[in-house]
This record gives sequence, C-alpha cells and structure tokens, in this order.
Amino acid sequence: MSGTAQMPGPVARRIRAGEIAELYQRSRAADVGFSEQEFARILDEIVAKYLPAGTREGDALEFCRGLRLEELALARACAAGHEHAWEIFLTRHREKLYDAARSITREDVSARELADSLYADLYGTETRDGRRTCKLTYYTGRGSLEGWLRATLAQEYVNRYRRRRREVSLEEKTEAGAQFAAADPPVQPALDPRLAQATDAVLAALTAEERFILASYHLDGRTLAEIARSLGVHESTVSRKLEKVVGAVRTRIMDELLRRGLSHRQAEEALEADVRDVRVNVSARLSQKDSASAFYRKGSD
Amino acid sequence: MAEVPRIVRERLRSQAVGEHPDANVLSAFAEHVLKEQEREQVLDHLSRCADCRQIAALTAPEVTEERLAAAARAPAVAKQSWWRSPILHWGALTAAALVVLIAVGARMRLREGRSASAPAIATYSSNEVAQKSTIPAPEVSLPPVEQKQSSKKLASGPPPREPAGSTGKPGGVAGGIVGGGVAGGVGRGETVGESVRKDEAAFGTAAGAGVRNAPPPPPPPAPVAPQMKMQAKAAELDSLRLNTGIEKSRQKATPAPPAAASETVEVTSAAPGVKSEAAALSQRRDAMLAKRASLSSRWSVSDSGALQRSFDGGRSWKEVAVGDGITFRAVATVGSDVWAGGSGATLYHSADSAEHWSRVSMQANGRTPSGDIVRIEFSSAQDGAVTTSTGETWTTSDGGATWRCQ
Repeated sequence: MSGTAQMPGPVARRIRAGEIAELYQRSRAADVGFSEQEFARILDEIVAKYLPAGTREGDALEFCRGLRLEELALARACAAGHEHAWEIFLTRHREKLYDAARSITREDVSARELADSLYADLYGTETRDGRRTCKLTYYTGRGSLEGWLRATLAQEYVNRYRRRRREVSLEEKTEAGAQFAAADPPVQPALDPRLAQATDAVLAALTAEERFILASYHLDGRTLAEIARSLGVHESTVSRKLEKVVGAVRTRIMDELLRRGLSHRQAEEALEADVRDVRVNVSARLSQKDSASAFYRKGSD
Repeated sequence: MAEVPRIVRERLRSQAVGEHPDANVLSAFAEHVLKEQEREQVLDHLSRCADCRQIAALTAPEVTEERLAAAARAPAVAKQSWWRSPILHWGALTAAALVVLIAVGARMRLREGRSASAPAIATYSSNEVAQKSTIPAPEVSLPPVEQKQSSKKLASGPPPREPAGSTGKPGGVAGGIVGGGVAGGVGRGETVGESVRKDEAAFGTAAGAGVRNAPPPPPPPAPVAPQMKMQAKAAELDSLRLNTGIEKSRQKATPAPPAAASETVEVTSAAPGVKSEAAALSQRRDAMLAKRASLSSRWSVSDSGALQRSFDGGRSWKEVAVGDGITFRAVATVGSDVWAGGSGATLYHSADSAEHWSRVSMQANGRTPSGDIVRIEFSSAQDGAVTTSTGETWTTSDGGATWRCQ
C-alpha cells in the first residue's frame, strides 16, 4: 500500500491525505487490487471531469463522499481485468442487466441481443491504440452501477433505433412511433412572427422543471406517473404543476402578444389558429434533429 | 388535461440542445441523487432534448411489485370511485350529523318528559360516585340490570320510585337511535377500509347496546341557547359511552350486592375498574381513528421540502410541521407508521399517523449516515431501508430501533 503524500492531482490538492485514506477504506478498493495511490488517481480523474478548477476542499470532499465508491472501485477493477472483480460483477449484475434490457425492449430476443452487445463493450472487445478498451472505464460512480448500466443500455437502444430508422418500413415506423417523441407538423410560416417570439419569451421564463413537464407530457406523450417517477415526486404534484403551467403559458403568451402590439382579438386568433388543425405526421414524429452519435462525447461514454 | 397551443409544442421542440449529459449524470438524475444546481442543468437539457428524455425515462428504476402494492394501497386520484366524490362524501357526513342531532333531540324530549315525573335522579358519573354515597338508597334510581339484581336483595328496603320498565324503555329507545346513527354515519361517510368499517360498526353497536342498558340520564340543564344545548348533549353522549364501561365493570365487579346501604360503596370500589375500562375504550377509539387516518391520507413532500398530507386523494395538501429547518426529501408509510427523512440525514417516525413524531437516531458501529435522506422504503412496520444522497443504504428490521449500513 503506497502513501498519498506526493499525489499531484486535484484530489491531493483539495482533500487531505487522511480523508483520501477514509475514502479508500470505504471503497474497499484494496479487495479488488487497487492501492490507495491508484484509487486517488481515479478520484482525480472524476473530480477533474465534474468539478471546476476553483472548487473548495469541503465541496470536493463532499462530492467524493457522494460517489458510489465501492461500485466505482469494482467497475474500474473489472476494466483493469481483475478476475475477482469480474466474478463479483457478474454475480451482482448479470441478471439485472438482462432484466433491464427486457424492461427497455419489452421483448426477449431483442433484450438478449442488446444486453450481449453491451457485455461485449463492457468486457472490451474494441481496441484503441493496440489496447483493449472497456466501457466500465467510463463509470464514475455518480449514480449506482446498476443505474449506469441501465442508462448505457437505454442509450444503445435509442442509438440503434435511430440508426435503423431509415431501413424500416412505414408500417414499422408507424407502430414504433407511439413509443418515441411525437412531433407536430411545423407551424405555418404565414403566422405572425410575434407569436413565436412571445412564445419563446414565455417558455424562457418557465423553470427547467416546468419545461421538462410540458415537453414530457405534450411532446413525448408520457403519463403523469412516468413523469413523476423521473422527477421523484408524487403523481399528484406533477398533475398540479402541469395544469398550472398550461394555464399560465396561455395567459402569458396572450399578455406578451398584447404587449407586442396585437389587439386582444388578433392575439386570440393568433393563438387559436394553430390549434385548429393538429395533424399527425408519422414521418415528422419519428424525426430527430440531433444525430444519434451526440450521446457519446468524444473520449467519453 | 388541457391542451397547449401548437406553437408552444413547436417552440419547445426547436430550442437549442447543447451538450448531452453522460450516462453517469443521467443515471444519477434518475436516482435523484444530483445536487439541486446540477439537477436544474440536467432538467434544462432534458426539456430541450427528446432523446435524452427518452433515455432518462428508460433509465428510471423499474416499478417493483412492492411499490405497486404500496401504490394500490393509496387511493389514486384518477381512479376514484364514484361514491368517493366530494359531494357524496360530505353529503353522507352531513346526513350522519343530522341523524345524531335528531337522536339527541329525541333523547332530550324523552328525558324532559321523564324528569317531570322523576324529580330526584342520581347521576352515575365516576367523579360524582363518591359524593353520591351519602344519598339515601330510596332516592337512587338504578339501571334495569341492577334493579333486577337489587330488587331481590332490597326486599327490606323501600321500593324504587319508578317501575323497572318505565326507566328502561325510554333509555333503550334513545340509546338505540344514537348507536345506530353513529355507526351508520361513520361507515358511509368516511373513506375507510372494510375492516375499519366493521370495527366502527362493532364499536357503534357496542355503544348503542350499552346505552340501551345505561342508567337514566342526569336532570335537564338550565335553559341555554339551542346550539350550546346540542354541544352539551354531545359531551353527555360521550360520558354515556364511558358509562357503558362503568355499567359493564359494575356488573362484572359486583356479583352479589348485599344491602341497600352498601350499594353505593360497591360503586365506589368499582371505580378503578371503571377507569381502566374507560381508558381501554378511549385507547381503542384513538387506535381506530389513527387507523382510519392512515388509510384515508396520502403523503408527499412539497417542492420547498415540507412534509404534506392529503385527505382527499391528492386534490388538496396540507403541510405537516415536523422538526425545525429540515428540508424533507422522502416519505414512506406503512399502515399508521409514517417515516420522513431529508437534509442532514434526519429521519422522523410517527407510529400513529402523524399524531406524534419522534426523531430516529441512526447509528451502526459508531457511524452515522452522511448526506441527505433521498429514499425511504418500508415493506412492513419493522423492515425498511433508507438511502442517502451519498449512496449509503441503511436498513432496519426492528422498526428503526437498530440500523445496519450497507
């Protein structure tokens, strides 16, 4: 076990050696073959990734304490090829990974295919500069390892879907359209540009959570229960907020339009003109503005 | 839910997306362990990016059967039965109140009529029993059951002022109406479980039966305003219920009342039993009310971190004051047990549906939890787990007396 006195990274600069030792002990990294110095280097990398340069010692320590240290050590040991770590990983997560894949795809064959492809990535079949790269290297302990695996599976699933989108038939698209973000036909250009400006101003004044609830419910077609689960609040809370926001948005847009010189009648017409013909365009519903590769940042996961 | 104008959907969709959060941040978001500032940033991105919303939704932990069962226990807002609509709910309560008022009014009229024919009637309040020991035996008007027992043994004494039938009948009629009214009102008016209804009905029936055998009521009070009169009658009704216990204990504790002179002494000696019986009744009623409250209430935590409770299936919420300066982040209920936790790993517990709260000390091997409590799950009153924002999971299998850290 090596000491921590000469550690040059941000962790060593911001966190005292005794506290690093405590984090190391909590992580049980020694059980999977990491020295304290090696573990501190992993923390360095994570701190550098998420915290700005001027972060105070207390904040950095709190951040490190908030990490899933034991799972972080396990994942990094697996990435380093530690046999015992792999045994633990497979025992704990093998079944959960398949279950998560099944809950995402809702179908056994696709689930197994998805989980197997992730297994290959986790084990590290791809090589970069002659070295095996393992996806577990990207796990940073911000959430649980199980949650990270689920998120990675979900990313892979959505990426696959987007890649395959151009190859499937219209019937399949229509069928799959119910599962993905819905897109309405674009607003007619003949509409008064002040309507878009007023709407943008009103949306910008909403909180991020309010916009998220609006988008999840009205764009994605998610249920109140699903949104509540995402936000970790009660379904009734989401219902109340949604009702409040929908009412407020309409009123505020009207106010904005009046402020921008429209008469009351013009403002009402401008708002109502676009709700008369809600057409469902399957092709537009399936379209996505950003490329699928955007999920994986370069050099990251 | 009201529809938003199409322009809103369009502008929502066309917002600039920016850099996507990685799987680590998305999973931390789904598990609700991000700090407020970072959570806001992620929410801001999610509100603009449909793909990330999709991934975040798929990343959210699956709803387990346990959680489904818990959700099923709580009445859902959208799936309320028609008979739980507010109008019927309050209508039933009003009807029950009316029945009680009519019963009390009928009882008053009966008593007024009786008091005219019986000017000197003793009360059986436990506080006054000792004072009544000085009342001469002939002036004591006994309940029907006791009169049967004492009629043989008081053969040498003067006969009672009224025949047994004349005192028993009016009491029986009034008691029957009150008991039935109370039981029916609670059963129909409240959103309680079937078992509670049975308990309530049993309680009401017992009270009704007791009142039928209850001693004659005290003399009518001095004329007061009608509303005050009603309140006084309600209090009297309660005292009559307690007297039900008094009568039962008296019947049990007095196998052979010997003589007229010793009769009041017997009543005095039965007072401790009477008190314990009354206390047991009171406890039973409290437990029943707590159980009813736990079944009909729903809990949540407000945006500002206050604990809140709803008695109408989530339509309106009322804040519940627990602790000082604590930002609550999680709450869980099992029956009448309520657990609430939040900032500074503070955990509070109430075993009686929030009537009383106690702060729970979580320690294991000299270690205390760190961070905030972000999740509480109890599968029974004894077994539960608490998760903190630092990723620690603390479990208990003895209702929070001892804890283990995982």
